Amino acid sequence: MKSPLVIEPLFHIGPVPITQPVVATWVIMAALTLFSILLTRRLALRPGTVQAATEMVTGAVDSQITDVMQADPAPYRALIGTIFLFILISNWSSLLPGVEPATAHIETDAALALIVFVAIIWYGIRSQGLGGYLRSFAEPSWIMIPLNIVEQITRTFSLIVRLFGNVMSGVFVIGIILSLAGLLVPIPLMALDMLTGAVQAYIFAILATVFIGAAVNGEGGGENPAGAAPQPPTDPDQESKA
Amino acid sequence: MTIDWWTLGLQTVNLLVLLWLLGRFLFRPLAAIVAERRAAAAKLLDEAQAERTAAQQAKAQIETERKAIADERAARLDAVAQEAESRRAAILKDAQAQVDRMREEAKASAQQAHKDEERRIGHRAQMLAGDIAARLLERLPEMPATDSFLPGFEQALAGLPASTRAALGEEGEQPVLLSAQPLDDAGKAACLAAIERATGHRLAPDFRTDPVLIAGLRLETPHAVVANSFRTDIDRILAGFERQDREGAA
Repeated sequence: MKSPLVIEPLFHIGPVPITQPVVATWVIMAALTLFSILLTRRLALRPGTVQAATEMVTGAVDSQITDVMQADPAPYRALIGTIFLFILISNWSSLLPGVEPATAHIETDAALALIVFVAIIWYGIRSQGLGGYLRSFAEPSWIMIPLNIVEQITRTFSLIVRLFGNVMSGVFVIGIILSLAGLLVPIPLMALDMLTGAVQAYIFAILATVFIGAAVNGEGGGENPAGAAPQPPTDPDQESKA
Repeated sequence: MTIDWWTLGLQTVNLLVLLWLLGRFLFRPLAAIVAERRAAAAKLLDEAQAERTAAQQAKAQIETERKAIADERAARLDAVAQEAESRRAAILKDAQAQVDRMREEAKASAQQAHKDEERRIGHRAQMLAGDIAARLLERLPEMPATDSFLPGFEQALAGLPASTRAALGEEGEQPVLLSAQPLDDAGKAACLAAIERATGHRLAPDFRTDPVLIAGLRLETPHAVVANSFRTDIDRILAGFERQDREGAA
């Protein structure tokens, strides 16, 4: 029996194997880009339904960034908004028959976490300078330097594992139920999977915002302090599986 | 569990490309249109605020003009009231003057009427006194005209102007000699002699009787009347009274 955690290439482009998550990501990229072009081609001061809904999503992203970072959301809007939209659509794509979400594979989640990891360093250095950013690892004491470095890495891994585990488990559960109970029984679980997908997208985006905000505000590898920004859910896994 | 590093690399690149695409084609235009809408809303709010301010200023100006109109109206009403009061006072003054003048005129008229009445009563009393005197004299015994009145008659006749005396009895007109009682022949002769002495020529008068004379003689010609009688005396006295009344009234 083949392990579901192993992905087989669909085809190769030269030496590069093209797997199913890559193709799914390309489809999502094409859909989002086409939607964006079609939407922004006819933007109006009096928005239509689709424009108003999209502006509402963008406004919600801006609001979350502002609440968490206490800063202008413009420099972070594209990163956080793209992460949120991609994860959300990728998670919900599992509702389509035969489509396996890209986020159910650890390579996609790792790519997302890698981007967040680089963004944390990038925004931290841009905000505090290289020396300031490095000094933030010695807060509150130099003894904490190893722990802060480890935390910097482990929280990135936590992002990967959290998203991967939730989405993959949802796909597995629905697959198992489908193989056992037929057509209508998995529907409640699919609805729950939609909720889980939305929550995971929100958690991943908000944690990325928190980590970037902490780096920008000079809090090094530490978690965001109380009062500086709202605390993210302490145990997102339990919340998403409730 | 294994990781496909090619997939990891491709997904990383894919996500970076998607990040650029959405930033370029979605988030930036949306942010621009939201900013534009906010600017338009701010502009509308500013315009509304400006219009509200203008409306408030216009309202304040209208209030000021309304107050000015009310003040002007009150001032005009006061002026009209003062003018009406002055006119009323003038009318009252004129009416009072007119009433005073009418009162004075009525008073003068009443006084004049009183004087006229007094004069009329006085005249009537005089006439009554004359009649009383005449009636009383009628009770006296008949007095011969020639004895008592002829000398005075002759003297009055002589007092006429010479031309008048010369014209008596001429131009064919016959004088009339009146007496209270009929004259006898001696009396007529005495009268003719007295006339001749006074005028220097003889007349042939027509002797008539008039009891109104009471006593005395009266010669009437077209140019002169000469009389010496009680009636003449009474008339002269009454005329004197009337002259005195007129002089007193004047």
